Formats: sequence, structure tokens, C-alpha cells
Amino acid sequence: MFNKIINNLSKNPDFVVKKINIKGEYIILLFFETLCDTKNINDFLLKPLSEINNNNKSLLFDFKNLIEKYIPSFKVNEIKNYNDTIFNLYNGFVILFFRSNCYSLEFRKQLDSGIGSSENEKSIKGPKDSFTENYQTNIGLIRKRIKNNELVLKEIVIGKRSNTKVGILYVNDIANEKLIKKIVNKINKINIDSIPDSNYIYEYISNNKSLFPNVITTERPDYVSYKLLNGKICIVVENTPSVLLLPAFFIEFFHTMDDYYQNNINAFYMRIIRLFAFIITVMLPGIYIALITYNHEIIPPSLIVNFAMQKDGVPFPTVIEALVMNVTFEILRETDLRTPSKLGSALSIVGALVLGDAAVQAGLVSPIMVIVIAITSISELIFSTNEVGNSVKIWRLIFIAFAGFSGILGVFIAFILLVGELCSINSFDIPYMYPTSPFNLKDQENNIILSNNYKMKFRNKLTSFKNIKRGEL
Amino acid sequence: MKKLIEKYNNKYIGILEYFTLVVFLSRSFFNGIGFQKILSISKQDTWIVIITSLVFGIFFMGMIYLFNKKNILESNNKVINFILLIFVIVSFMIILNDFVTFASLKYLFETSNYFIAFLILFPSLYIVNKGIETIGRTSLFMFFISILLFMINCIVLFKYIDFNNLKPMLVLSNNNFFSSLIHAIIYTISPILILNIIPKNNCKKINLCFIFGYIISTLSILIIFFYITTVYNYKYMDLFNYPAYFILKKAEYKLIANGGNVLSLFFIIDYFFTITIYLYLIKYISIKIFNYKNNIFYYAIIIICSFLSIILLSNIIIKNIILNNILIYLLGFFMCFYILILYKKKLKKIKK
Amino acid sequence: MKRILILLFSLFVLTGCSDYRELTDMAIASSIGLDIKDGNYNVIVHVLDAKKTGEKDVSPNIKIYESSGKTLHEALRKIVLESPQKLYVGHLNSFVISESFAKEGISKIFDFILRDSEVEKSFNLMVTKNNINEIMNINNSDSNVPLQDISKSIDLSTNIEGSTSSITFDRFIESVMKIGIDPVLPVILIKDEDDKKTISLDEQNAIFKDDKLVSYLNKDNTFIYNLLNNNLSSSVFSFKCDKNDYGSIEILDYSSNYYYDFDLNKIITEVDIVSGLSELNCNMNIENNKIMDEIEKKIKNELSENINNFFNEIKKSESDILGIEQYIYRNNYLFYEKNKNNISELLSNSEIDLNLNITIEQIGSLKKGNEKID
Repeated sequence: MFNKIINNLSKNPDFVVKKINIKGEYIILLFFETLCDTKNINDFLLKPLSEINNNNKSLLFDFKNLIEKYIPSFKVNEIKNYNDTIFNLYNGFVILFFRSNCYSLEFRKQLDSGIGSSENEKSIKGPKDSFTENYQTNIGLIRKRIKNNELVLKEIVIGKRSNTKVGILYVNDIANEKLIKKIVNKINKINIDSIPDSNYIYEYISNNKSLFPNVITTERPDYVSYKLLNGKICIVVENTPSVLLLPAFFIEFFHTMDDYYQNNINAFYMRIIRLFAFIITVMLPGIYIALITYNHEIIPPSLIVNFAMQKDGVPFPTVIEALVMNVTFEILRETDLRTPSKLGSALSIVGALVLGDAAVQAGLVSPIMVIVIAITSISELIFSTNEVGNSVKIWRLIFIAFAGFSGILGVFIAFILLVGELCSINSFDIPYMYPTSPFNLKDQENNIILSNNYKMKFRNKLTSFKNIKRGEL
Repeated sequence: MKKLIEKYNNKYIGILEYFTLVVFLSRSFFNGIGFQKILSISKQDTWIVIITSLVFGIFFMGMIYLFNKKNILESNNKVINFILLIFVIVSFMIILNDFVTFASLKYLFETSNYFIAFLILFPSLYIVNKGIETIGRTSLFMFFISILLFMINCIVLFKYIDFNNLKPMLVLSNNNFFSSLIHAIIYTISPILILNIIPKNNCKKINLCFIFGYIISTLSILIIFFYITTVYNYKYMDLFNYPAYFILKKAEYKLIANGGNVLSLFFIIDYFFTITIYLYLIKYISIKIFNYKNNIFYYAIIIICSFLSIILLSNIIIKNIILNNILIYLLGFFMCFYILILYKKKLKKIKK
Repeated sequence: MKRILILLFSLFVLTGCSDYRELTDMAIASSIGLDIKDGNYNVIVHVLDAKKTGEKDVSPNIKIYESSGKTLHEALRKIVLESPQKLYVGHLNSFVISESFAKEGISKIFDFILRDSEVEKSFNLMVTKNNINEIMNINNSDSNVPLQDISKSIDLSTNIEGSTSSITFDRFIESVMKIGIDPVLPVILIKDEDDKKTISLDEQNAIFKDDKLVSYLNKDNTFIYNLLNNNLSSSVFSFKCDKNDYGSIEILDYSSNYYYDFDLNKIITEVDIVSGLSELNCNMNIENNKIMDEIEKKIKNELSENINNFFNEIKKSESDILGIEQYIYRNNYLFYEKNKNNISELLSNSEIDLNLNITIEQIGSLKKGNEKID
């Protein structure tokens, strides 16, 4: 086996083979120097081994005893076959060969940035740490918030070339067992070469045909630990800080952790404003087009002459104006994401000047259209952290199409179509619009209003039906 | 609770959703024909007629539903299914034409009727394709919005109420009173009897569901009639063919000058869900009669029926004859047919 | 495959968009003037001009178009021969009718306006004594939109002053169709001063019977009519407090009802007015309770005289603007059925019974009233 390893791996320039001579006996160390912490290897492995050289040679005869008692390291495994050796080498372990016995010790290098504050999901009050790309750190951040025996971790290794570890976390006496079995079965069947991000796993386990997301993606460990205690299941993937939580309800995309750390009435007010922003960002261009071109009687008589005067010199029809401005704002947003920060200020001045003043003065767009599209784009920024933002853009185009063909009647029928689409989604056999559409009076406590019954006494009825009271074990 | 978590099987509909479908369906004939016909028969005493029809209706439904089982109209007899299919298709054609006329007169004056029919058929078919459970959940969600619109309508028109328009009271002749009473009962009860075919998952509370849905829809019709007869005099309202839309035109608040078009979306919700349920029933009953697996066959039936409804009923003479004279007998015949089937099944039960 | 079929099918049916109208293609009508001569409808339309001018905050200008036809709809459609945009009557503000047309009966225009669902029925109706051509072609007045301003002042005057009575089109038709009540319309005319013509309100209001104009009602009687119909929300009433001087009270809150007594053939009116003293031009010491009672009595006498004059005027005319006949029809149907044919004779012989109560509750900031120098 030793020769096989040397033959296969010695072409890598960072593969180290070190022989230590202890009074005639040879101990061979094998490791990847890019994956192992060489300082720790020097301090904790080579130093004690070289001390044996002087004193107790008899300890060499019981090598396993020697390693387990005298060398400071946690995981010590005895390895029998070739595949395990390769697996351990690539995970940052050091392989010790002595007289055809083979042991592996862990000396992993920390290959990521430390725990910082979250950039994408910010909050005003409360803990601000976020997940990193290190798998152990992520699981540690969750475990330190649920210090209980019932938090179960299942690990599966998938990906033929990447060998990525996927961890499934759940609280055993709250979550639904059938769902867990189903998910584990589905993950075990994945046959792919590498998993760069947790989104790949989402594509395999859910059979979602619609645009709206079926799972919650988050970067905050306090959110994950709070929802785990409601009966959700969490999937952590190595090398990515995005963690999946399933099953998801539609109303949970309008909740943030700030709501749970604040006053109930403040939370209620902010949720209404977020729902209102959702309606504005999807429907406002459509409603504006319907009012200006089909149903003029709704506009007050003093405003209608004002609108007519503003649209006087513009040669394009209203629908074309709306589509062009929409595309321009999308381009602005994309460039905002990708420019380095030093070029940012010049571009924002150009954007404001071009779209604001110059286009209106040149008579290409009417000033009211700029206002409408600006309000729409600003309201969309509330949903930029989760995938709802992406589906909102497509539905906005559908609303503009319906409004351009049939006025306010078309807008309303498109609204019923949107509701029908939302109500037909099932997130892992659980209805998506749960407390509203299959209506349940008790669970309205975490729907739009937030009440102390949810925070202090009872969990969500549908996902945690085994154990509803919060206080007892 | 465990039923929701068990396999989502798209076959059953819950109780609250069923209740909302009953409400929408029993109001469906009113916007086009019901308001103007009942108003022209019983003039300013319409509210008394509707209250009496509520009492009679509860009595009638209570009697029938003593014998009700889960899906009483469901049978494998091809003749019965064929008669049901004919009834559903005729009702669907009348309601679709009603919607197309209403939308064409009040919202989109110059667009062709085929486009308006496509405008409502396309989302309906999309939702029907997803299954009965989606229809139920969408209808429950839109029920909340429908209640909200109704409250806004009542509040906005409150300052125009003039109780003197209701006088002189109780001068209606007996003939007119009973004729109008029968019209009100048949228009509200006959569409909801067809809902017995839809599979439900909790048959103990079905009767309660029906009676509650019927009460709520009749109460909302009572309030609308009350507003129609008190905001303006009944002689003025008698001139129009959509009186309920007309009084909403008087609603104005600071931002919205003429809220009639926006607030009438309350009626559009009723039309949408009746058309959706009728499409689902056509598909369901046709699958029982012809056993094809291919969906395109059923969509072809639906498209042919929609074309026929626009072509046939666009002739004003035929439309007047059907709506004013024939419709009431057709619906009454269906109610008698339903009672007959009920009696037959009760006889079967007794024989066993 | 299924989706391609749906797309193809929907392409066939997507013939929508025929209702798409841009705001720049519409001529927004603000007021219409109508006259009928020899069966020909002559129509003059004021259209709001929506051209972008360089200055902001300027109220829109008016363009004037004229046309004629055999029906109202044909006349309105022929305006396209003069205007570059199609007419839009959805935001109509006022409708002016000439006196000669009003005497023949307005009901000819009902059918078009009721049948078209785009026209809002809440515009104001007015009658004019001048020629329609003259009054609609005034263009050197102070404001750009003279008829809109007159319409606003009619509404205001009905609410807080009382010498005109505004009515919208739907209430007009409703009055015409109701049994036993007749409508009252405001009248406008051209005031000619120093070469400058302006439109202003006439002092008389037009009384209709069914849909024909029959007579006129002068200013004081219109005030009483508005008072008895609960149209006013506040108003000012002047009374004579001395030989040459007058004072005035502001009516703050009032309630008025009228009944008809079937057995005695009597019209009973009850008016309760709560008012505040607003101007006193005689030297009187208001702190004295007796003098306050005297003032209240003077007001009461004057107002009763006005109300009695009003009732006498009504009993003489053939139209029933207060609606006593409607009251009889609503509250005692059998009595109405028996005397359907001679109600107007019965009412012209009826007695009037008046209960009037005026209280002055506020006197303003001054304590006494004797600061004037003779």
C-alpha cells in the first residue's frame, strides 16, 4: 500500500514524505503541506517523536500505545485500506507509517477568514456573526446555541471529485421523521462531480417548477438555531456560507430576525410595510400603465391635464417607455454590484444625470415615468437577499403585459393568477401559503402580527406537531 | 393536522375553502340578471323579499341536507352524468357570456369579445390544471380580499343613504311578491347544488358549510339591494341593466375620482371563481363519461363551448329570450332533478 | 410541446390593444353647451388644452369647438372635423342649456348620457338666458376656464350662502322620475361692463315641472328653499335693527322638517336655528337680556315673513319644488291613490303652520354693541 500511495501522489509538488530515524527504526510521515499546519506538526508531532529517540526505546514496540498516550492530537485512526488513506490525506490528516501499520492524525490548517459580521443580512439589534466557508466553524456556531442532546447531526459525503461533506442538522424530538428520511435518501442518490454551493443540493431534493424559492437560504446562525427549534431541518455544505433551511413558508421571506428582538407592534408595522413594498414592486408599473392608457376616469380631473401636459412631447407609447426604463434600471443595478468601489462615484453621477435630468429634458421619457420606476426599483431592494427578488422581476413584466393589453381588468386578473401560482406551490409536501391559505387561527400569531404566544409559548403547529410547547422538554 | 402533512395528493378540498366556493357560486347569477330582474318585479320592497327568501332557503336546505352524504351526485351511471354535464355546460356558457358583456360594456369597449374570453379563460385553465386543492386555496385567499372590497364599498356609499327612498312600504301585490321570492330562491340555491360532486375530506361538517355559505351570500345580496334602493330612487335604477355597478360610480374619495371601475372588481372575483369551478367540473365529469387520458380532448371541449357561447348569445334577441324567460325554468328543473336523485338514493338506502 | 401549442393559440387571440388611448390623443372636454333649433342639435364644447408651455403653474387654456347634427351623439362626433384629437367626455364639468330648449323639455338628452357608460353623471346643469353662442365664446375674461369657476361658485353658494341651488345630472333625472317633486336649476348670464364680458350668476333660479322650464324663483325664496331642504351648512341673514341700519347673524346649525296633516289639509313646518351674532350696526347694549330678546324677535318676524312669502309663491305655481306631493305618496299611499288627480288644487288651498325657533348663542368678541359714534 505504501508504494501505491507514493506512486500515485508523488507527482504533486506539495506532497511531503518525511522519514524519521528512531534508533534504526523508520517512521514515515506523509502529508500535504498545503492542507496541514506545518508549525503544529513540528511542535506536537516531530518534537515528541524526537524525544523518544533519547529515552524509552522500548515504547517503540507498542506503537499504537505510544501514539495514543504520548503524542498530543485528537483524532487518531487506524487505517486499513487505500481509499481511506487518500480520503484522510486530502482532508488535512498526517499519515504515519511504521512497520506496515498505518495511523492518521489530524493537523488541519485553518483555510478561511475568521468569523465576521454578516454583509448581506444586516440587523440593527442582536448578534451579528455569520457563517464562514469552514464546515467545522459553521456547525460549531449552531451547536453553541443549542446545547442539547437532541440536536442530531448526520454527515454525508457527496461529489465524486470534490468529496464535499454535507451535514444535516435537526432536533430529534421536534422535527418530522418522514421528511428527514426522504431528504437523506434523496441526498444519497446524488451523482455529480462537484458541489460548489448549496444551491446544487436544493435543485436535487426539491421538485419545484415555479419561480419562487422553496427553501430559505441564510447566513446567520441565530436565525438557523431559532428555526431549528421550530421543527425545521438545516443543511450545511462545506466551503460555502449559505445554509439551507427547509421547509419554507412564503410569509417567512418577509420576516427578519429583527422582528423577534423587538417590540411586537414595531414588528407588525414593519411587516405591513414589507408586504406593501412587495405589492408596489410587482404591480406599480402595471397599475400606472392601466391608469394612463385605459381607465382615465380614475384619475382626478385636476391631475389628468397635468399628466397630459407632461406626456406632450414624448413620442413613444407608455408601454415602451416603461420597458426601456425598467431595463435601464436593471443595468444600473448590475453595474453597481460589479464595479470596484473606487469607480463607483463617477458612475453614479452619470447614472443620475442621464436618467434624471437629461432624458426628461430631451423629451425621451416623461418625468412621471422616472418617478414610478424609481419607486419600484427602491422597493425591490428589500428582497435582494433572498430569491424572491429574482421572481419579482419576471412577474413585473407579466403585469406590464397584462396591463398593456387590457387595462385595470387585466391587472386584477394577473393578480389572481399570481395568487393561484403562489397557492399551488408545495414546499416538501407542506402548503406554501400556510397560515393564510389553509387557514389556521392559532398560527396567525406569526403571520403578519407577532404575538407573545409564538415567542414564548407555542411553536409553529405544522412543522413541529410532535412537540408544541416551548417550555417543556 | 396530520392530514396536511401526509402525502399531498391533490384530491380533496378543505372545509373553509369549500365554504368560500359556495359563497362565490351562489352570488354568480346576480350581477348580470338577478339584480335588474328582481328589482323590476318587486320595486322598493326588495329587501323584504330577500329576507323572506333567506328564511325559506334555510328551511329548504335544512330539509335536504338531513339526508346528505359526502358526494351525493357522484355516480357511475352515464345518463345522470350526461345530464349533469349538459347543465354545467349551459351554465358555463351563460356565465361566460355574462362576464364578456359586462367587461366589454364597462371596461374595454372596443376590444373584441374573443379576447376578453381568452383573458379570463387562460388564468382559469392554468389554475384548473394544478388541481382542486389549488382552486380551494386561491378561492380562500381571494375571499379575504372580497370581504375587504365589500367593506370599502359599504363605507364609501354610507353617506348617500336616504331612508325615505324606501317608502311607501309594503304596497307590493301578492303576485309580484311570490314571483320575486321564487326568483331569488332559485338564483341563489341552484348553482351550489352542483358542488356536491367535488371530493371533500371532512363530511361531517359539510351541511354546516353549505348553510353558512348560503346565509352569508344572501346577506351580502341583501345589503347590496338595500344600497341600490336607498341611494337612488328605484324608478331611476329601473332604467339600467347593471344597477349595482351604477351606484358604485358615485363613490369618490380624494385620490380616486371615480371609483366605480376599481370597486366593481368585487364582482369580477365572483365571475372568475364560478368559471374556474365550472371548468373543473366539465373536466371531472367528462373523465367519468369518456375515459381518455389525454388532456387535450377536454381542453378542446372547453374551447368549443366558449366559442359557441360568444357566437350564440351575441344575438340580442336570443339572449333576451334565454335570460328573461328560459333561464329560470332551466335552473328550477335542475333543482327538481337534484331532489329526485336524493329521493332515489334515500329509497335505495331504505331498501338495503 | 404543450407549451408551444398554448403559445401559438394565444397568438391568434391576442387581438387586444384596440382600447389603448394615449393621453395626448384625447381632447378632454370640460363643458358642453347645447341648443336645439328646428330639430338640429347645436353643440359648443370647451376643450382643455394640454400643450406644454414654457412656464409652469399656469392653469390650462381652453379651445372652443362648434358643431351640429341630428342627434347629440352625431354632433359630438362631428367635432373631429375641427379638432385634432377625439373627444373624451369622461371628466365633464358642466352642461349649459339654453332657455328655449329648456322650455321645450330637456328629456331628449337623457338617452345618450345615460346609455354611454363612459360619461360621469356628476356634472352640474345650468340654464342660460343669453344665446349659447355668445356665452360659450367669451374669451377675454380674467380666468382661463370661466365655466369651471362658475360651477365651483355655484357649489359654494349652495353650501354657504344660499341664493342659488346647484344640482347634478343624476339627481336631476332622479327628481324628474320621482313622483311629486320638481327640480330647481341655477341660471347664468353675461355681465357686460366696460367692454369686458364675464359670466356671472343670475339672481333668479329656474323652476322646472317634469322636464320643462316653467317659472323663476327669486333670491330670497331660493334662500328659504335651501333652508327647508337642508342644503345649507351655514349662511348669513340680515335683519333690520334700527330705522336705517341692519345687523346680521351667522346660521351655525339648524334643522328643518315639514309635514302634511292629512285630515286638516295643513302644511306644518318646524325650523330650529342656532346662530351667532356676527355684525351689529346699531347702537344697542347687548348685555341686557331684554334687548337680546328683542333682537331675536325681530329676526323671527322677518324670517317668518320670508317663509310665508315663499309658501304663497309656491302655492300659486304649478310645480311642487318642496315635494309635498312626494311626502303624501310616501307616507299615505291610499290617500294619494284616492286624490291623485286633484292634488295640486288641494295643496293650493292648504294652510301653513310655522314653528320657528331662533336662538343666538354666541356674540363674538365684543361685550356690548355701543361703540359706534352717531
